[in-house]
Order: sequence, then C-alpha cells, then structure tokens
Amino acid sequence: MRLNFQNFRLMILLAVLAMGCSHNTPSAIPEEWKASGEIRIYEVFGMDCPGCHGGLENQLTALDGVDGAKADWVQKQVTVWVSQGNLIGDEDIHEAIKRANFTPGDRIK
Amino acid sequence: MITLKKQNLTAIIGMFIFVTILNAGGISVDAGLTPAENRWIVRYQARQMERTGAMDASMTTTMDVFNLAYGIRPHLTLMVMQGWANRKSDMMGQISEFTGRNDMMLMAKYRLLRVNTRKTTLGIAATIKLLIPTGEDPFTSDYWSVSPGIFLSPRWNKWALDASTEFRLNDLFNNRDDVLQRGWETSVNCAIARQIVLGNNSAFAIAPVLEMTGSITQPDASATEFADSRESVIFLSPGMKLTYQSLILEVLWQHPLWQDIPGSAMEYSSKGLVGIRYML
Repeated sequence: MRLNFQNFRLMILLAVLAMGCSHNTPSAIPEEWKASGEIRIYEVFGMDCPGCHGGLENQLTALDGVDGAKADWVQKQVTVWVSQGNLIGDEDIHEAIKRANFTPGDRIK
Repeated sequence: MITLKKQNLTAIIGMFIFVTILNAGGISVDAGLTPAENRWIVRYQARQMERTGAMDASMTTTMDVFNLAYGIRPHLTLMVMQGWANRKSDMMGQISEFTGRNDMMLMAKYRLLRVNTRKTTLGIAATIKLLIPTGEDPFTSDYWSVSPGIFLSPRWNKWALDASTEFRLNDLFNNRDDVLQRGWETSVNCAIARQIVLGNNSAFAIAPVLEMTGSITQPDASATEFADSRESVIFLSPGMKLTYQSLILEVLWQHPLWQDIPGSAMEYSSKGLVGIRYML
C-alpha cells in the first residue's frame, strides 16, 4: 500500500476532526475519583509537551492499587487515584515516575 | 580509508559552532529525549523533494516513511524505519518513473544523561543506526551502513532545543581495495521550538519549529575520484507541530540555504514534509 500527499491530506483532516470532536478537559479530576479512594498529587519535572502525559499515566496505572492517573505538563504535576484502603507508598509512585524518564518532586496532596 | 579535506573540516567545525548557537530537534530527524519504558511510538511521514539541473533536468521524489519505536527501558529505545519511494525524472525530455521500497533502518538510542529540574531539562543520548540494503532498485544503496551519533536536548520552560549529529560509514563489509570505496557522510541537525498551550487545556499545544540541517557527503573513490558523488548542503526549515494528548501532527518546509554540488549533479530545491505521530 502506498500513500501519497493527497491521501495524507485526508488523513490530516480526519485526525484534526477527531481531535476536535474528542476535545475535553483532561486535567479535571473525574467525579468518580472524588467519590471513593484517595487522591494524591505529586510534582513531576521533565514533561515538556502534552505527549508526555500518556507515558507517565501508563506507568502509574500499571501499579497495583492505582486506579487512575492524570498528568499535566503545564502544572508540572500528576494526580493519582489510589484504591480505597490501598497502602501503596510514595516510593512506588516515585519509581513509576522515574520509569517514565521524569523526576518526582514534592507530594502536594 | 577516511580522508578529511581542510574545507570539509572547516565546514564541520562551523556546523558544530552553529549548533551551540541554534539547536535542532524534531521533525525531520528522530532526535529528542528517550520515551517512557514500554511506550510505543508509531510515526508516518510523507516527504516530497525536488532536484533540478542543467537544461531543465528535474527529479521529483515522494516518500512514505513509517517508523515504529519502543522504549524497551527508560534509557533505551529501539526503532525501525521503512520507506517506500516514487521518483519521476525528466532528463532533456526523457521521462522516467520508478516506484519501490527503500532500505530498512534500525536504530538504538541510549540515554547517557537526563537531568530534570523545576524549569529545565537536559538530555544527552547516544545513537547508532544500521542501514540494511533491503530496498529495491534504484532506491537501495546495495551496501550496509552504520551511523553513530549523539543527541543533545535541553529544555527551558516551554522552549525546546534539540541538536543531533551523526557520522555515517558506508559499505561496512567491503574490505577490497580494487573496488569502489564509498564516501562517508556527516550531518548536523538543530532545531528550536516553543510550545504554546491552546486555550485552558494543557493537552492541546501548538509549537512553531525552526530547524537547520547541514550535511557533507564525501566522494566515492576508486583509482580516480568520482566528483559528482560529493556534496554539501544546508537547509533552513520552518515548521509546525500540533499536539493533542498522544497525537502529533507535523509539517516542515526545508529550503536549501547553501549548497555545494559539483559537476553535472542536480541541485536541491525545496523539500516538503507532513507527518503524524501517535504515542501509545
């Protein structure tokens, strides 16, 4: 299969449309997180664009006891949703941040 | 045997000095920082380039290039790149067209240094590329090449600077003196970009990019030198990146600022590049 510039222009258009349609506010904390479990916020250094969010969030949600994570490269922080009653330590969170090639700072909350 | 002429040495030193003033990164070269562990990056680029010569001779090449990269460890990234090309040539009215597969490239990037602070990030990575002659005629080099290189990636707030340089040794497994000796190539790429957040959503950003790319290709040689295989060129390239979460759209226009193309070889005209990148 070969793609040429005309096909690619169509791909770009579709991608931009998809981006526009799925536009939301990912930095907002979902209501379900507030309802149960523990919300923690950590400083993270080294994120330089929105593309960094996914790598960090994947590392954190791979941990047992972490139900969700939302990174924000502008605020330089990540919000972590820890399961109710889970005793996951800050060290585990810090190690996951390092596996994403970032540096953990202070725990804000 | 590697030979280095004084003028080429001067040009290389000049390019390195330039890199310290204006750094490179991003669209035309896979520079930058190593991604997170277990992260996949899928990238597609459509490229179009033109060369023109004497007596209205012209050659237009379009390429579809696919990249797949994987962060096997936080400090180690592996990448494979495969392209397909179409080339149309007009030589004094003689029109010809070829379509085929390019050589495959494998790359490993190893993080040597990564320092993240509240306002700045500094990354240094070593790379090695292996070009495997799996392409189809006339898009294959017919020989193996290896390119060691180094990336330098400073970041300051929303500014991103990337510089990379590599040295390509061609025809690795040719030990005979009585056949054509392929010339080596060296290149420097430097870019500067500024992320601009769109609206109140930190997941949406646009980044104007300015790249500068310089390359020097030494002539192939046998008993006599083949002058037409030597070339030096510097491109200045404005571009744009649009990032939404893990999706990046990129556009780059490469304009030849200066070139030294000897003999009857065709000169470079502008190149265009559009791409899409998705990080899983």
